[in-house]
Amino acid sequence: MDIIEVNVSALAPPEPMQVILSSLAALPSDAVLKVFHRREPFPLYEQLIANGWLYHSKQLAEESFVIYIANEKDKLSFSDFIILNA
Amino acid sequence: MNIANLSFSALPPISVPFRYFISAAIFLILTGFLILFSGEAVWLSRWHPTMLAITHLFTLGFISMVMMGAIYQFLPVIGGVGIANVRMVATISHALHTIGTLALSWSFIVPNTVISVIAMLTLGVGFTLYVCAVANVLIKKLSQGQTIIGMRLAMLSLVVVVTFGILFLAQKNLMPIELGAISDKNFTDIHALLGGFGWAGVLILAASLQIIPMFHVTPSFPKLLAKYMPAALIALLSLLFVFKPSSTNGQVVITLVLVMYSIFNLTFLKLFKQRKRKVVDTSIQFWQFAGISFIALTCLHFLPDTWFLELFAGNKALLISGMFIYFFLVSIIEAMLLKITPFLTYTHLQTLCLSNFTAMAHLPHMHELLLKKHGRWLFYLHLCSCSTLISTLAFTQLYQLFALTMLAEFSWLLFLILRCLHLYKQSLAKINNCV
Repeated sequence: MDIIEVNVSALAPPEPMQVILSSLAALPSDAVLKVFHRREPFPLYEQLIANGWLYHSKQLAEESFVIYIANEKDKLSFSDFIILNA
Repeated sequence: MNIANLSFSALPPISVPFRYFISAAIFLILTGFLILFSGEAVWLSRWHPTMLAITHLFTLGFISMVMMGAIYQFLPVIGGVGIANVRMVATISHALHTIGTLALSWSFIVPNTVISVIAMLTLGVGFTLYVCAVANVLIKKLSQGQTIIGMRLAMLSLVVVVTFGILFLAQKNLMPIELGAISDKNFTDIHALLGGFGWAGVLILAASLQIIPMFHVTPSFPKLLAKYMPAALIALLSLLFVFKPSSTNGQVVITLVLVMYSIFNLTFLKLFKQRKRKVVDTSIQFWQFAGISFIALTCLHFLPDTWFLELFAGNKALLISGMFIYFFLVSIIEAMLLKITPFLTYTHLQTLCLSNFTAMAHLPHMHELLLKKHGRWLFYLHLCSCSTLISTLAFTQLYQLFALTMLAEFSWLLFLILRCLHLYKQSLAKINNCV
């Protein structure tokens, strides 16, 4: 899968969500959005699931998280991607 | 992949926090009218019945009201878990809280057993429902440990404060109940100190550990402060059950509490100085004003009582508690409202766009929801009302001036909240058409 990276760690709300939304809108098929965030965006997760997206989050350090997001249509390749990369 | 086993609830409907915010502004408009028509004598003592009503309209009607409303939204964002049956809990506890606050204030001004019993029951049941619903989330193992621990301690303080309040009402109205030592004025002081520094103060401290770095992109609070200060404050406040507030040891405890809060205030003032992007932000000006005011009131606390004789008719306690509530707590609540009101509105609209990205075209700019100049005017109005409050405490005949500036400030705040809600509804209709 192609990886599109965005870093929203230094942005104030609601800019992280704006960047994530714009990136998802432009995300090609069979690509994964890799988001670097300062915290876990819990409310986003539920909305992602409700709207046909998959995610996987991982804590890198105390205030550093990485969240992978992909379209539900790419479920199989996303699973493989997570096993290999996350 | 995290595609199942979602343990958290969705963000609560926007009507949940907003009903609390709108009610809070209305309560202070009512308070403004009460002050306007209550006369000068109210300002002579903090024990004056109307002053007690005014104090509770501030603490229950505004401060607790906003904080309770914000917690509904705060828990799912910070902890990842929301309150179960949030709409029902909010509807019932908000209604009972509103009725109870009105009844309690009324019962202070016009003593009436029936009204007091209504206040006791509505506040008792309302708070019990609310605390149980929040505690049900807080007992879970959540992320953001320090904030959650602080919130647990704040809720514990709230339980003690409310229990004391109910006992005071019971003793006053349901004679012949004999509650012995509880009639001691020291317990009223503990009720006030735990309410101000335990419930409101520790909750603000705990929330700010997240809110300040998150919303204002500052460095995080020092780990030592984040980890130990909430617990240390509650431990100190608990000592007041051993050392009466009026005793020498009790006064030492109160001084330590003030010093610890001053450290907290100095810390967040420093964090704002360390921001990477130093954009002008009215919310930060409110925080800075609150921080400096708190340090000023701590300095006033150290002055001898005789210093207050000429300027404030010896009313040191009223001056310091007035500054604590109005200059510190109200300023921080307004700082938070300026940030969270447009943010919540925007977030609710933004999440709708995940199902159809073309709807993003209908998203308003967040600053349109609460214009920067409107926020600035709120700050100027607050500075005006703060200066008229100090003037009134020094020269009580100026009380009407304070009432009028207060009315202007909180009418403006109400307008800003309602305007934001109106724009939300307009944008929601456009997005729904698109989706």
